[in-house]
Amino acid sequence: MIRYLVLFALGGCVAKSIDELGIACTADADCPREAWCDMRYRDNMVCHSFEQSSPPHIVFDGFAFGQQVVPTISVPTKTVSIHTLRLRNDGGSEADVTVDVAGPPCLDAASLTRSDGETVDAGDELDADFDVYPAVGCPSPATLAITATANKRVFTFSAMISIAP
Amino acid sequence: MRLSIILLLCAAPVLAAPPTKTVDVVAAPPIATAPDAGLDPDVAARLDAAERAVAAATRAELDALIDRVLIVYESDDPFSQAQRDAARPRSLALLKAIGERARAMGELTIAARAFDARWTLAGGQRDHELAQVLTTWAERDAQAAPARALYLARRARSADPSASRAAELDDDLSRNHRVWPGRLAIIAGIVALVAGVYARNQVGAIESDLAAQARPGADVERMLGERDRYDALGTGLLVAAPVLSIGGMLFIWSGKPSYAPTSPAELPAMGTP
Repeated sequence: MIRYLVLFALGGCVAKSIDELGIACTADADCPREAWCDMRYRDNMVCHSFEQSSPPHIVFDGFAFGQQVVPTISVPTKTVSIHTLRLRNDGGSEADVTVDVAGPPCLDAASLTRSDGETVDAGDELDADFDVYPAVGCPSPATLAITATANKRVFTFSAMISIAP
Repeated sequence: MRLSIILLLCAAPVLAAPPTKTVDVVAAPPIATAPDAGLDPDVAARLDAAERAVAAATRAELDALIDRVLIVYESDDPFSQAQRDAARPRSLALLKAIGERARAMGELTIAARAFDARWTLAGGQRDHELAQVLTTWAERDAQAAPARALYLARRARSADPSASRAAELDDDLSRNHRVWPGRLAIIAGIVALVAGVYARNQVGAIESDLAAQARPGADVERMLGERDRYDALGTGLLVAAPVLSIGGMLFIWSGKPSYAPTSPAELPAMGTP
């Protein structure tokens, strides 16, 4: 009896961490200062402490071109061509990433990544393919608007492409 | 019938035989153990001398005077036994005088011995003076020698059953004084256990609430603070609960009187005459 009481009491001395508590949240603002909201699973959005992990963070490195990553590419006019965006998750947790690519009206661009997202581990890279079809007379260079959504966190980038006649 | 005879034969030596009138001597006439009337001159002379000595006796002399008075009652020879009844009134008066003189001198032990002997010789009749002296002695020794003090208090109650101070002392020395503080500690331990369990339940309730429903970060911070307070309180109480309860039990156990009434060397002043 006494032994269990002592164990129970000692158990109480070690307070549960934020990760163990499973505090429900819908956004980072719903979590304590030292925590962030993990929104990966809709039915289990809970706060995690920054001591244990950090939210996903997507950065755009450029266009993958052969073995290189270049800041811009040239695409042929009136032709569908497929290219690759190099994205990277430099956050501290795995993420399901969806990519959306949009251009001016004369430039038909679309992402070829899975609509339910590509799983990217913390620190890993994602090569996201997209196709592009510039209409005749489309001004060059054109700006692509890139939107990456990682576990409901939205990251936006822009990139210039030149259109070859 | 045979059994009755055997029982009578066995009991015969035990029964107190009255003092014999004469002592038989071989080839001589019997010797009378006491004069026909009054005290034997030797005994009377001893009592006279003691009476004269009381007023100016020192401590050691008072002690010796008691021995001189009691010698008739402590000797088993037929001559002493034959003098006991005749000497009793003067012996009682002399013991009273010795006791009062010793008490006036502050000699509690000697006064107690004298009064105790008088009480025994008088057949155990109520003796207020003896009770007072024994109570004073018990009060004096209560701290240093509780076993002796307990004996003195109980003997004082025997000498005078109405002696309230002796009864108080007896009760005080016989009782475990740590019972109530110990019980309070045990009760406090139980209360701490209940309160601790309640606090821990509150912690669980807050944690469940936090997990069940999303709310603004400020509210979450406030609830976490409340949870931490309940957690610290509950943990402290659950640690304190067994400490208090077990401590209370040990406190009660340690307060049990570990002594039995023990008579001082001076008492009882004499055996039953």
